[in-house]
Amino acid sequence: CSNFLDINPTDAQTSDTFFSTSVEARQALNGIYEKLRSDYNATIPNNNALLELTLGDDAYVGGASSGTDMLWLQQMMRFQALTNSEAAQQSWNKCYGAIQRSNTLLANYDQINFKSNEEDLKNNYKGEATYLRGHFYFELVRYFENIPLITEPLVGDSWQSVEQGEPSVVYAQIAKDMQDAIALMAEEIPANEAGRLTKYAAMSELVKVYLFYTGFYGQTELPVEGGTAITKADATQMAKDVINSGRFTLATNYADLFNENGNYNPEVIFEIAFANTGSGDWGDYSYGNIMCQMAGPRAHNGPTFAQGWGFIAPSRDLEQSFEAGDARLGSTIKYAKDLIDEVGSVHEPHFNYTGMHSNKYTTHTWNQAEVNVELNWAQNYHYIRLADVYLMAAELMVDTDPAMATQYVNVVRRRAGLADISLVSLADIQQERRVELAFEGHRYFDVLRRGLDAAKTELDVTNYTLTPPTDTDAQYINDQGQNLTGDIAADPTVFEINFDKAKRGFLPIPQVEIDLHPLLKQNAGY
Amino acid sequence: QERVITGKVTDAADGSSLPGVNVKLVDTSVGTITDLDGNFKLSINDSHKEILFSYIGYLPETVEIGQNSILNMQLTQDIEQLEEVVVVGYQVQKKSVVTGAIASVKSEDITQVPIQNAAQSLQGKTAGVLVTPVSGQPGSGIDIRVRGTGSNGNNTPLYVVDGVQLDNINFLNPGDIESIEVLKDAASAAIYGSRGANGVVLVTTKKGKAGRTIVSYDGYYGVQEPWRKTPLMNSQEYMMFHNEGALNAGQGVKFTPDQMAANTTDTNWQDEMFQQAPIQSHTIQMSGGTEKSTFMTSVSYFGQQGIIAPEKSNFDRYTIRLNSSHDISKYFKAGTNFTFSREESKGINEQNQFGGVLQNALLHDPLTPVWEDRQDVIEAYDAYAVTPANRNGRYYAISDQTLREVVNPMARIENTYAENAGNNITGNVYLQLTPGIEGLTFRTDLGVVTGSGYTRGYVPEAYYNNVNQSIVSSVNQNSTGYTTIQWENTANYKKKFGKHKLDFLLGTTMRQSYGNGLGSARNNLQIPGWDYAYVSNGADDETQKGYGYYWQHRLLSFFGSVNYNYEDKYMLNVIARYDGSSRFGPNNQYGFFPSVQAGWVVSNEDFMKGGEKFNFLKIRAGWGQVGNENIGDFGFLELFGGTPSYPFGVNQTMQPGFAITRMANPDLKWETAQELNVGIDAGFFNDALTATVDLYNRQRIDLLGTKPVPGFTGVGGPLSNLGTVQNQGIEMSLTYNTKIRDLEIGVTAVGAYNDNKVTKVDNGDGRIYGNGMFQTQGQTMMEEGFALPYFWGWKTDGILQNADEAKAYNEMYGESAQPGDIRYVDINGDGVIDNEDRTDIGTPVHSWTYGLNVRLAYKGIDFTMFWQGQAGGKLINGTLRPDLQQDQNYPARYLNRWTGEGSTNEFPRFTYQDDNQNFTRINDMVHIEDASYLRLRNLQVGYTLPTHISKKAGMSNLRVYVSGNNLFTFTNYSGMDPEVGHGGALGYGFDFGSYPQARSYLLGLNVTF
Repeated sequence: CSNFLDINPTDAQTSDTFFSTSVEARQALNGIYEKLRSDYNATIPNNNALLELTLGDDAYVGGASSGTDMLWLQQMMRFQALTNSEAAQQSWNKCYGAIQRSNTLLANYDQINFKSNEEDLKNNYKGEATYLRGHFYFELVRYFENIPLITEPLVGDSWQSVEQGEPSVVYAQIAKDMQDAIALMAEEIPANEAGRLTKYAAMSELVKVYLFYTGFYGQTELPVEGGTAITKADATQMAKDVINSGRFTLATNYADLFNENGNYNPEVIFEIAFANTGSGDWGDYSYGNIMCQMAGPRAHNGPTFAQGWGFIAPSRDLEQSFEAGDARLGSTIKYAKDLIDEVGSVHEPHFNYTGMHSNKYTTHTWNQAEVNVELNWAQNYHYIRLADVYLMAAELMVDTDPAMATQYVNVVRRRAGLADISLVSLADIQQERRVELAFEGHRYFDVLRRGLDAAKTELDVTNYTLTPPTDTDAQYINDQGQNLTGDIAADPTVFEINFDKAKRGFLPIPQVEIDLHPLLKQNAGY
Repeated sequence: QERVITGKVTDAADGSSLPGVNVKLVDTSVGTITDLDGNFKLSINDSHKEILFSYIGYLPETVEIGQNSILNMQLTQDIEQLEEVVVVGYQVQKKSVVTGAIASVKSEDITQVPIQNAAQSLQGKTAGVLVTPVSGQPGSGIDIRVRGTGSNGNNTPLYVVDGVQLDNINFLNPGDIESIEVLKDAASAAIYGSRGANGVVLVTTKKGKAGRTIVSYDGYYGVQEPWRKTPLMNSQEYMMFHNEGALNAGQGVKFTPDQMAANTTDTNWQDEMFQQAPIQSHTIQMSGGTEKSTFMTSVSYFGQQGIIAPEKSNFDRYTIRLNSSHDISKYFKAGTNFTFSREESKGINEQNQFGGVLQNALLHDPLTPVWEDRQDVIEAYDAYAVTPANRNGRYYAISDQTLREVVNPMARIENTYAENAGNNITGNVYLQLTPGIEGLTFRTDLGVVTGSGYTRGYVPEAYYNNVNQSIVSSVNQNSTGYTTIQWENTANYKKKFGKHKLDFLLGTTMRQSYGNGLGSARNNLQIPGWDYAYVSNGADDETQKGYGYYWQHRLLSFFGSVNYNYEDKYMLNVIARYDGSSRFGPNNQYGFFPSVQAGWVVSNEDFMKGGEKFNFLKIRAGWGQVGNENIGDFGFLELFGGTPSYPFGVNQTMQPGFAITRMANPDLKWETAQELNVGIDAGFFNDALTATVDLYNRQRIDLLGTKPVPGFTGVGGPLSNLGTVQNQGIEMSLTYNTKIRDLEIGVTAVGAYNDNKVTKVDNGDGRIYGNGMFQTQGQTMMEEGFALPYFWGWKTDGILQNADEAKAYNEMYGESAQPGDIRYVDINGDGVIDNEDRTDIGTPVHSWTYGLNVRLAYKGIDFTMFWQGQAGGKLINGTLRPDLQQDQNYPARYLNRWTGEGSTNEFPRFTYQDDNQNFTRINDMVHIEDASYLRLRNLQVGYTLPTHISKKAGMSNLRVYVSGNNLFTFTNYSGMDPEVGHGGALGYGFDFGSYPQARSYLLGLNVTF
């Protein structure tokens, strides 16, 4: 009975035997993709767009009227995130989980036997794994700045010597990964595989990386690990290549991006997929878009929206930045008044209530699942879409080719039903980005990359006065005397925000990371 | 020449005749047994020289026949055999020479208090064994910790029933048990090395005795009721309290004076929820046999309905047992012990902040009636696509408050449908060989545990409130199967050299467990109702789900012991066990667990002999190591396992990923408990008073657990050896038995104190974080230098009584507290009150356990009283929800709030704007409560019919009794019950609405035929 004790697991393979064919390569790749939608791990919402709008000035964090609902988001909104911020930690863990999986697949790539007819697949998969590593590092570095850079699998106790990398080194690795990936990735993905990423997603995001790095750090070039730095001209060309590829077209109707036609709209370049599986599993195995549930109005069930948790309270600042006649306003903001009119009764005001709700990623009834509604909002998140690239290209060319820049901005404006601008300025582009891309995960970084002083000017809210109700009919007033068509707060200072420059706009390195690994240093200001 | 010899065998002490005595001609197989009057008749011839008389419980006698034709024999009782014996693991020992710390409970103690689970009988009767029912829900388990909390993982002891190793004894009929021994110290448990780190509980079931067949019936029937209800605010208090909260937050009142005056509803949800419920138990036992074959068989039924929702919360257990043993020949003996049990239970959702029935009852406003009787509202409900829960067409009312998951508790109960059932067969077959060499025995024992489990659940469609609905019904069915085969072989050799006695034991165990699980779920039940709630009746659509899995686990062990005894004066016992487990990799597959024990019976020394007042004294000491392998499988391997899926394609095809999700630890090894134990057993006044005292120090080394690693590694931490936990303490038990004329008095008192401390946590910050509460900061914690676990929260220093105090406090700490808020202690002295000020504010684990059992008997009347208590542990009454602050009901305790300067220094003001986080930072003022309690577990009066009367009715014994359980409870805990045992080591200590223990009144009957 010498081998009586040697039994093998029935639900897993050992790492020695796992990688053999393209099947395992694909399984390992799925494991990386899976982290894109893993935004509700441990029931802590950590969706990229959600954290962005928590920090940014497009919306307030709502939740239960006590103001203590998901306290970590309230704190983050006020730039008072605690070092043990749950959302920051989950976001950190999600990105590093994906990076570990990329590193594992890439380190074992050579031992996989692809068949002779799988040469494209072999390149594409490797490209996608490499790009996704870059993508997750970009998320990490722009939320946390000082992060460990790990590009090989960590074996045994080797993690104990890991230290934070210089941001420029991290950015150089991101640029290298994306450049390497662009050469390997597919031009197009068949519809039955939609969700896998093409080289254009990598090119678009690399432009975004260029803009953030050069903007925030006051540089002219984006360094590339072991390669030639990316110049403004390179970035411009990349953006143009995406625009001119002919593979993406602006949706004729802006509203189509966020309604039943939203998923895999031809405008979208980088799409994160969610699904309605009917699953009742709270946490990481819920496949819906938790941002939708977070956004929906509390205790409202009507023909347009189902109930949500009321966490996204659009700011008056955002509301006012829409020009008159902007078709995008209605697709971005849903007024509580309209919802109340639909059902004839008030819903529950959330904290930092402004009488408005998001109309983008939210509890659209057309998308409502039959069971376990909260967990099954199958609305895909458009991380990068063509309008974003138009506006990035315009920003890059506003000095070098103002005519083309103006043309790009006007393409976007025309769709919104707005008049052309004759010659765009940088400020025009910034304004256009805000209203075009509200609630989509970009605004805060667009502000932050203008520098800390500009960010403070943009983000600070002082001397807030409550916006009075638009209607005084009794049907808008709840039994506590609160009118849901205006701002609601016992104390208007809850709407005030003070950007803390000492923190440089970044989140704290999760406390548990430093506790478990004292070689890591906390970010400034925490 | 043939002749006949006759005679009568009697007891040497009282001259009573002895039936069934074995009478045998020496060196032949010729023999007989005595008849009912002790007479025998035997044919012999000249070649026969001697007769051997043997009888269980008596010393054997060999007599020369000579020329006698009548041979009367007197047999003397064997004092050695009469002396109490204790099972010590593979062997029994006389209690007087046991060298370990072993607590023993005998059958009469086990069934004294009506219990649903045999393990409960250890409560208050075994010093150092902390027994906490997980909850009062019928069929719920028992949390047992031997000598404190040793591990942040599993703390359940190993159970060994007639030699078969098990994880629990829920399936046993307590009436079938002869004795339970708890091997408390590591030196004693070492013989079960690999799995003894949490202590070993040895259960021996009843065996038959040679003689006539005895049939008995034991049973009781009773009613249960809640021992108390949690004091809550009534309607007026509720409205007043909320108004105060709103006003303190600068808002208008929540309820106007008109509303308050107009309200006529004051629903006490606990009154609605609690009911009287029956409990009953019936056991019929039959035992008997001959000198060569004995048997014991029993059939039992135990049924308990819950005091909450009896039709939805109940438990039934049926058992059948057959134990037998047979002398096959001079060399072979064989036997079997088998029990079949079936358990059926239904349960309600408890211990849950999100929809637990009890929590709902505690938090639901009293302004809502149980039923909705307003016609206009009923018409509105009728128009809903999914209507509110109803009973016979009558709707349950829905609160006007925003209570989210807190819904009408009666509606919640109405729509609770969950059932569990399990079948279990546990038993063993053994063959014992005595090859004719004196003192040598071989034994081979095949044990088997096999069974199945089944669950079914149904969630009907219902509208509970505007945020809480089941739009589509769902149904699930799940089943599991499991089998353990255990093959054990032992060789035992006993040898006497003059005054020296030696006893050798060698053995091996092979153990293999495996099992599988299958489950399925569908939505949208097509034929509504519980009677049709089977998965096949759900919709065959894309939302249906299924799963299936298989697991296995193996152990291989070698063990031995040597026991030396000199004149019952000096004892030395050495044990070693060598264990291999499939849970560890090639690097550390085996663990070695040695122990040594020594004892000195001082009273057997000449200088103490014959003392009447101080008749027995034994000093014993032991040191030993035992192991633990209770951790997930395959932690030593680096594995690619399934991850969640990603939806690819426009049609959302879910594609699972594969990844390394856990760090591997090829050096993962056995956890070891190492313990030093010193004890004294003493007897006074001819053992009328006996005392046992034990002192111990137990180090739990290389604790198994998941090691936290930084998130940047991208994977979960490895299963690892994490740290050390120390438990040290003292245990004492005193027993006094005496007889004053016809009055028999028996008193047993046990008490134990345990000090628990984590001495090492082997990760970066020396901490492992435990559980917390919804939207509340603070949690349980495992940390070096502290108890396992402790509540990591804020210390308070009274209440800020006035504006000046608040101002001074705010200026000092940069806070914005107001009068009436808590003054937190700046633990780290950095001038800020924040997360860094969290500290130890108590441990949920009791350090003191005690019990007192008093028995009196006068002629036919018997009286018993059993008190039991635990002290030192804290509990968080965690039913409240911070997010429902403005709508939920509150415990009456909150009425003791601060209402103005000097009103109280013990509880903060109530405000909707709790900026000071009085209620959302776990602190020692609002959250932590003392969970110490003392309970009158049982009070019983019985009457036994005089024998001459019962004999006439054909019975040898008849006793009737009345019994009351949990009649009194003394505790400062304000929740439903201080006995809450949910969660593992780091999840302990939170009462999220746990099902309370019942008080019960029983009428019982014991009959023996």
